[in-house]
Amino acid sequence: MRRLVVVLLMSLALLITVVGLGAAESVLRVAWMSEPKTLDPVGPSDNPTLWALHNVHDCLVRVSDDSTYIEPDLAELWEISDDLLTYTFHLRKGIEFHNGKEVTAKDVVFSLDRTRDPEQCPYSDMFKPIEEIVAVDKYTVAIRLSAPYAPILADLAMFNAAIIPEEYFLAVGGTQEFGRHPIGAGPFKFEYWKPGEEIMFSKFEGYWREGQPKVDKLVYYIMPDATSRSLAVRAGSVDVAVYIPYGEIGTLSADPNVKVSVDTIWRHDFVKINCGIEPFTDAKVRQALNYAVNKQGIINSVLFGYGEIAPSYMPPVLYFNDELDPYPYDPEKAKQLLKEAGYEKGFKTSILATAGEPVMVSIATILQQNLRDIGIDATIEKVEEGTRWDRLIAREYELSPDYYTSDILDDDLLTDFGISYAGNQAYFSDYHNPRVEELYALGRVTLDEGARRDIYHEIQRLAHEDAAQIFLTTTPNPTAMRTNVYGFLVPANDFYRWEYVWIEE
Amino acid sequence: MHKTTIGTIMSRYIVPFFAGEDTTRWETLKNFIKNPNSKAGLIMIGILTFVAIFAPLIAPYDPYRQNLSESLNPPSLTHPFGTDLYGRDVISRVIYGAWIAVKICVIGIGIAFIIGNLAGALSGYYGGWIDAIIMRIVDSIMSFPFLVLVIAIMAIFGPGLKNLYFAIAIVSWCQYARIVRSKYLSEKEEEYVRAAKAIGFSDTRVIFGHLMPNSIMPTIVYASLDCALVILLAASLSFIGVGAQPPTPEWGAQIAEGRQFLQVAWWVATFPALGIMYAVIGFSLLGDGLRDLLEK
Amino acid sequence: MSLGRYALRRFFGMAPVFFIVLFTVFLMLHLIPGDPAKNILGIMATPERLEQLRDALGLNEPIYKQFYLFLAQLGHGSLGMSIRYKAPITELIFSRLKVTLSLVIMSAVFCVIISLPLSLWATKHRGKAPDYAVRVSSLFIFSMPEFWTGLVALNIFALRFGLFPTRGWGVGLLDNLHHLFLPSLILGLFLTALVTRALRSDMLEVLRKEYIQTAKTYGFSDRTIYLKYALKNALLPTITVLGLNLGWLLGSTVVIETVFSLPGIGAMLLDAVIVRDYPLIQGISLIFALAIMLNNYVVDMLYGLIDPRIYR
Repeated sequence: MRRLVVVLLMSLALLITVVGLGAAESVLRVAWMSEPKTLDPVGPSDNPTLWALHNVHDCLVRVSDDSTYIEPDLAELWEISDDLLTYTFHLRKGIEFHNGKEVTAKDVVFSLDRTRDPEQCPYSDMFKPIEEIVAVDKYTVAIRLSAPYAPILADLAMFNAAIIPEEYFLAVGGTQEFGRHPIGAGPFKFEYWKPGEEIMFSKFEGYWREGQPKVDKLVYYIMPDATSRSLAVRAGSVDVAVYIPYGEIGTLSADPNVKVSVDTIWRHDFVKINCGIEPFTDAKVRQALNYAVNKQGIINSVLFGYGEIAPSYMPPVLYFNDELDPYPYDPEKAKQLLKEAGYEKGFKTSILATAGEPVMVSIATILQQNLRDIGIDATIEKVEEGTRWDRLIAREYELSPDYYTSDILDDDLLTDFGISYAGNQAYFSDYHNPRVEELYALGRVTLDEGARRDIYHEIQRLAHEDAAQIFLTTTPNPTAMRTNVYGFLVPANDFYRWEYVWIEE
Repeated sequence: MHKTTIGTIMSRYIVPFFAGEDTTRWETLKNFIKNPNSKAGLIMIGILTFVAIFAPLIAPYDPYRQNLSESLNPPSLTHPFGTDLYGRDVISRVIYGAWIAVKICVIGIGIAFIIGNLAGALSGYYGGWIDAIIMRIVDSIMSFPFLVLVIAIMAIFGPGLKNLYFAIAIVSWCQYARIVRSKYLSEKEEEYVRAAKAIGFSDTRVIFGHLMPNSIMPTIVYASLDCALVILLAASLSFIGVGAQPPTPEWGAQIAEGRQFLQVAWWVATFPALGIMYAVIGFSLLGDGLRDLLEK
Repeated sequence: MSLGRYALRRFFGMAPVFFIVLFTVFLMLHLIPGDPAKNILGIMATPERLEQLRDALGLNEPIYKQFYLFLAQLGHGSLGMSIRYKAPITELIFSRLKVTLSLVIMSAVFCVIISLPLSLWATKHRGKAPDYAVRVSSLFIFSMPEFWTGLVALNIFALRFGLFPTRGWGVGLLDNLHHLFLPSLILGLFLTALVTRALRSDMLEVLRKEYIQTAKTYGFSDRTIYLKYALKNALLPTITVLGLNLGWLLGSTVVIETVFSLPGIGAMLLDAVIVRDYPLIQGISLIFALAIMLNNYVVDMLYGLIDPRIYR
């Protein structure tokens, strides 16, 4: 009898221990750079929001881990019709949303119709070639195009093409509520949101990818100051700090408790030129600016050696033209060009930068000095990011350091957004080259890889010669994390894959 | 009129400090030099002013010259205070920062001093509604925290060093006015003033010739301490971004620039901070010494 | 006169000052050189956007009418709408009030805790080593720019030793205090330096007073004297100095809140300046001014309570 009791007690103890150990939750704490505006995939266009959406939402397809091809996500396979106009996607069966409802073709149709609605989505343009989306049966969706459209697969891997539950979305009354309490098919469920402070996600037990996510909880702490983020990861109050300052990479790597991952991403840093106003309407002046800026100097100082000088408007995404030589640092040549353009005495201009963005301000400071060396007197104006954005759209600027990232594995997005006039007036710079416009349109409908490569190479060459921007650098993404954090992966589109990460205690 | 004015200034303000016959003032000067506070302060500020004025000759490099390949170099023989992010020499920037600090003190406090003394003189001498108005204005301005009022002024007129002088002057003159006014109120009934008025001297003459020489000392004491405060104020303003703008080598602005590198390149933010400390200590000691003098 | 009448007299005496303060705040929008709307939106703003803003700010009305509207708005307890946050300014200030208030109070507490014993100790050993040590260190601390001291403290104590959080306000009272510790300590230290420099002469004054001499002749021990009389009489100047320096303290919150990323009113003022949210700048300035006026009044009253000779 006594032995029985002992055995029972021991089993109980063992049970409690096991349960206790299992119950010890692993929480991945991430220091995030800025508060997302919403968790509705359709609507936002700012990076900190986009990069947070992937926790909660999945798309039909996604970018591979090594960022070189498109792989199945919610859709397990697809077929393209011979006339290249119909893409038929077959959904995996039995995938659930966070509320337990199954992901069906109806949800796909609903979600993608929102994505291509100009009233709701700032990127609807990219989906214009879609004529209609039809649910063929419960698990099959057919997307019919009006013309062959090469970027379509890459576009469907984009954040705003995420598949959301139609029923739930309509039930909560639309984007306002949905954006604050999202339901998706992604690896993490949304738990709560403390505005300005933190967002908590938890593991979605029913996630269709086996064994993911590996942590029980994921929390984003909103910490806009880059130095604070790196301080936090060093102090151990967070496990991962995104976008740490380049200057801290050395110190952080030297810290025995921290490791740094510097990952290539599709990011291009440059200085926007308002090509619509004098004297920047003259290509010679713009070229002079490119010769005047010490780009390697910027890499050495501001970026602490990280990054490559950019020859044109595209970072290496799909068809990077590596035959183009970047503009060398040649102030004499710059002065020569200014003289030819009739500005021998120089002129006054202003540089618009975001207050509190140290990299941007540093670039502006170097730019100011470089311009002074060739006779151009530039003042630096610091404003808040929201204000700067408004002013860019309203063309109330002359020069402004900026950057963009490609969200898709295709050159089309940045060509549309950054250099084509038809897209965004060349990202609000009013750069307009008819030949570029032709090629941009052609690149979309050409599916042959070789032909597409030539097209995008040519666009890059034209933009380079026209000096549409002051091309600066392709910059990598530095992330710092505690040494006990494993599995970290961020593909080149910055959609962090936290579902791969685990923490060893 | 001119000759008399110069004469008055000379005889009442300047000569007494050097003349042998007026022993009290001579003794005062000797005491001033003996006092350890004022001695130290005078030497420190003397050096500061010297460095500031001769900055172009003393500074080894152009404070604005960037050299991107020498970014963030630690202190060395070629760069005793190291270099900043843009490869600019820090010691040169700190030296030019001294010049800017001195300019801020002289111009900002200079204007405040003049306005304050005049306002206080009018207020104390005439009394009545002039006094009421001026003192109400003084009270109102002093109801705002200094920094907040200056920030608001900079927000209105825009950032930059020129507006900074102006803003500091607007905010600082009040205390001088108060000091002068209370001095005048007590001195007004003294013998020598009544005598001067009885003789028939004009108000202006009484004010500038008799009352002011006696009231100027406390304001000078306050001005010295004020310089210390103003340097700190200007540095704070530049630090938060509404004061001197880049690439001006104002000490506060330099600390702001060096802030992000405190871990990896401490010298960029620390040496300007030391500059501020030096100037503030110098002016404080000087002021303390002057005040000791006054209270004897 | 009695304390009550003095209180009333001083209160109503504040009226003209209050009026001028209101007028000054009102002027902030109108002193902007050129067109205020252009200043807020930038020189290259389109005419439509400019006109929109002018309407929103009521700039198209004649100036006396604008002032009247301003006063009327104030009478309703409203400070207007923030351009940037698009929310009532009173709400914004109120939501951040507890942060700044806690910072101010905790700094004052630190100041009193550190400065009183320090001053007493220094004065007891007047002229000897501790006295000089205290004087020299307060001079040093006073001369250090607060933002720099804050940065250094942040880097050393929050980072190197991980003792404190690096930014923010935290959740829950205990967490709040943890976040507040370092910033208030820095501010408190600076205040201590200020107070110590001011207090010393006051304490000497007190000690030279006759009744302490008298107490000594009656045989009270040294310790009793210092503690009972000196402390009580030192408390008043400490409070006075602290009170007089509320302005400096409030101004410092702008800088300290920025360095430690505390979501307070001071940090909001700075944000407002960067985005040129003039209504918000006006609102915060007004609140600060009112706080100081109130504070001066209270200090005067306290002074009156303790030393009635002032208003007799």
